[in-house]
Amino acid sequence: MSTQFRSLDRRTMLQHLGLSVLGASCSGWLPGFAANLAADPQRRRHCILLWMNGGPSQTDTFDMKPDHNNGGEFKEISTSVPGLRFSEHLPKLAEHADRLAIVRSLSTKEGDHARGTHLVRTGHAPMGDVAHPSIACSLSKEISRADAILPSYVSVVPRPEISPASFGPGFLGQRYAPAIVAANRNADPSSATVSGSPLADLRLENIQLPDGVDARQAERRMRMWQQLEQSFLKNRRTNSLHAHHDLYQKAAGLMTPEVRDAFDLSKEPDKVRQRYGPGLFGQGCLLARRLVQRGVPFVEVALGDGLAWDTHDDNFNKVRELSAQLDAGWATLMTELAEHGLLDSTTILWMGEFGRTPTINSSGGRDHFPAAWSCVFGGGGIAGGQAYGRTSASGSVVEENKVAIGDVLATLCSALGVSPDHENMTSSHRPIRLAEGTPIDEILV
Amino acid sequence: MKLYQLSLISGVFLALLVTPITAVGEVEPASVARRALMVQRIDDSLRQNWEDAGVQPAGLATDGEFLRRASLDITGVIPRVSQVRSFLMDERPDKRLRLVEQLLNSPRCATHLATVWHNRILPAGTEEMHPVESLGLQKWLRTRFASNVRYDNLVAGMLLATGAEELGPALYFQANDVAPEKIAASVSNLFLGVKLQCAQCHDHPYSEYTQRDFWGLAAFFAQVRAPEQSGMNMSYRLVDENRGEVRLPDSDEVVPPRYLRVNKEVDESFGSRRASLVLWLTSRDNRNFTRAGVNWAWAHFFGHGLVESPADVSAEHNTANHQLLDELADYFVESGFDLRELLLTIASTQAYQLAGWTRDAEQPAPELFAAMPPKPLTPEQLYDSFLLLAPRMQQREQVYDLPVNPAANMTADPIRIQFVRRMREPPGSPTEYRAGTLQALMLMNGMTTTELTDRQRSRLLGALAAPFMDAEDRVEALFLATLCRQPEIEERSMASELLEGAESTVERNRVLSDLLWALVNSTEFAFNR
Repeated sequence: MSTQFRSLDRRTMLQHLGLSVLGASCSGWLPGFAANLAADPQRRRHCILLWMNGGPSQTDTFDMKPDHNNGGEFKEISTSVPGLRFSEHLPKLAEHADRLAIVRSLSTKEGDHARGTHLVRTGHAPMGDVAHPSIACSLSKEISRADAILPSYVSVVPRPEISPASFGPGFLGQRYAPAIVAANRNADPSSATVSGSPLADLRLENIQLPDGVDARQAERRMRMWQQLEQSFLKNRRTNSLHAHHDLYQKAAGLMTPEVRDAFDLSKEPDKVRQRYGPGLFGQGCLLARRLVQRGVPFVEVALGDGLAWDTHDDNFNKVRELSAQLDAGWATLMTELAEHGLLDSTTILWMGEFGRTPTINSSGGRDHFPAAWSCVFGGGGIAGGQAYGRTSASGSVVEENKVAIGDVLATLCSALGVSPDHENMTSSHRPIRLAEGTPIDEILV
Repeated sequence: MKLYQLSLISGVFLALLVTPITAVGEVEPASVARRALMVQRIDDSLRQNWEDAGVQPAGLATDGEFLRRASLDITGVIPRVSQVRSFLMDERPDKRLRLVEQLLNSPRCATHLATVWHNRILPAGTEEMHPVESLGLQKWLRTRFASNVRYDNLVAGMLLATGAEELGPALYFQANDVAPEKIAASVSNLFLGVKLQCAQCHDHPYSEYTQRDFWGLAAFFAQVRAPEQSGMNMSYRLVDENRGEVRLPDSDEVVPPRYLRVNKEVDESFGSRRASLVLWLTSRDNRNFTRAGVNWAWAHFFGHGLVESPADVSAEHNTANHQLLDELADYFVESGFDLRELLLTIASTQAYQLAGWTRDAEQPAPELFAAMPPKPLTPEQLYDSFLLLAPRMQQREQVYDLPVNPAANMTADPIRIQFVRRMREPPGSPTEYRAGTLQALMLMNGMTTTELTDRQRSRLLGALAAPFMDAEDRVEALFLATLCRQPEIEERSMASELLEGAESTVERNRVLSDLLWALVNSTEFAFNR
């Protein structure tokens, strides 16, 4: 009796193993070309979204105005690409500029956190009778694999409170919702940047047994559950009932050592963990690398508790501190992805809900500014080493190659090899495109 | 520009909107006889369909199955152990009818119907975007269901909302962006049973409805405005102006208001276009209105409407179910649009008492209603049923300082809101199961289940510690509390074996907690069948 739970585990694992072995052998039956494409791991596409809650200041990061009053106190530094310059507080990232494309001409119309978040993450302003999915949900749906054990979209410590709908799957349904990685708040140095600080402790929600329930109890629970399922289902064959049962089997399959291992950062050498930065963002970037290595197609990592980048006052001290986290986490992520041969298949997008005013207010802060701001693409599918578009000398208007949010999202789709014109159907049979915009060809490979 | 506030509409009309109907318990014997006749008529019609199709219907549901089903359908929660025990022991032949009556008169029924209507009338995702207004609408609906306001008045009150005095149905307009075409598509779908969306952009090839029909309906909402809010007045307000038109897409042609497929002058003497529409829409002679209402009530219990498309009366669809729907619509009108009486009537039929299909049975078309299809519990039903088994409610009221009437206030529970959000599926068939693995993991290992099965905190598990109960009593209580049935022999012996193996009281309690975990995660628990 007591082996039943374990045998379920083994069976589930074997099924998955069996599937992949079967998949490999079946490919021999397919026409050679398609089979090679499907079997080639390099063809797998991944996406990492670095989400900047609150709206980061473009003027103090990627679109600096050192010769203008608006420029503020930060200096520019040169990068690995001649002519392309970043803030002095992003020195490690500057070494990866050849793999980054800065979009400096993004222009949107929503200057409120909730509305801006909704617009940028779904491509639609928050109105209307369609619950638009976050681009992360709709893209992970397109680039996921049916036989995957790990979730298709993992989100590290998101802060969706400001606009929950912008972080969810909308009309696509909950099966496309992100798997949430939460922080252990007791050991949470969320903004620690000093190396040697305690490391942020991250865990995938609900994959561990609840506190106070040990393995022996879990086994007993599953044994009782199997007994109940058997007596109930033996006489029934309605599809929906069996769908419920099968789903639970699959979920139980996620509670395996292999899956837990994928999310267990303590398996990484301390030196590596420190290099990413000890805070939530740094450790989140490390987790993103671990997950991409294991085939997870979409990972999102948020930087900052609450609306960290919402620097209405004391902008420069705050941005300096945030930049330190950003620089360590993102640059190390680029380095390690490249070392593992994964940078060419992994597209990175850095953005927030809007930019910040080029002018500095009386509190030494910058306010919401959707009219002319920046986002950054990197890695796979992206023609790095360039800045696309240009803002005026003061930074207040876009002077060249203005892009809309739909264009940015369409570019992300294209970089991942997904057509932005691909349509999903709402429950009232309305076709909704992945992104309403034109990909920016100049920054695509 | 002169503004017509809807509150200026004739006072008589508004007074009608809140006229309650007598409670079920007080109905006249004459209406009891009427109901019996209608129930008989439904039973006969369905039986004839089964015979014609050569179908053997499923057997009757057991008492436990029926109790659980009626409780979930009518009050949105599973019954308490004490209710299960007394219902199973009740030997009166009419106990099922008594149960349905009692449930329909309970405060939980109004709360549940308010939830159901809130979710049904608003575009998906509205509650996330407008959490406060969403609670306001639920409260508004609950008040009306609690006093059994006439169905026609309920709909009229909703469509004539001004939002000035209270949070409520103005959200319906707000969530549809006060856009005439969106409101028209929604109104025709909900209250006329006509899916008009496609006619918005073109004449539909398979339908009798044209683009002009669509925009003629939309024109009734062309003069509703939501003026910019000023200063501290944050409430959402709607006014009817005497200007504003709709035009055919890609054209300058103004489409005047026209009742859907009815050649009747639009009566403009009611102060606003909305009022003109509402008086036509909710009139007792508006066949589509009453048929759509009755078809919704049917689908509420059976997961499928009596007919697929209630407004479709073309010859090839003139089936027995369509005729039955007509008769039910007449019955509904004659009862004075008494929604509670209609729900009572449908829940009294033989079809509502049938069991689900067994493995060996053929499974004929759902529109025969020859067996009860299982419906997955909605997120609200699931959470509220958990709460019934768990102790959290009281603690949370202290934390959030909410008033103590759970039926009236459970919707303000922030943990419930979060649970519902993460379990919510987009609109679709109520009989389809569409959750994902993350939701299953949440139910297996998440906070709500963990607290529910916490030995120290679960009210249910706490009650089982009573010294006069033996192992068998305890196992039985858990099965009754969750599945409304006794454990089967194998289930009983598995549980007893584990309990006997427990060496201490602590260990015994742990086994009981594990059994409760298995029960609430079982497929049987997850469905209303």
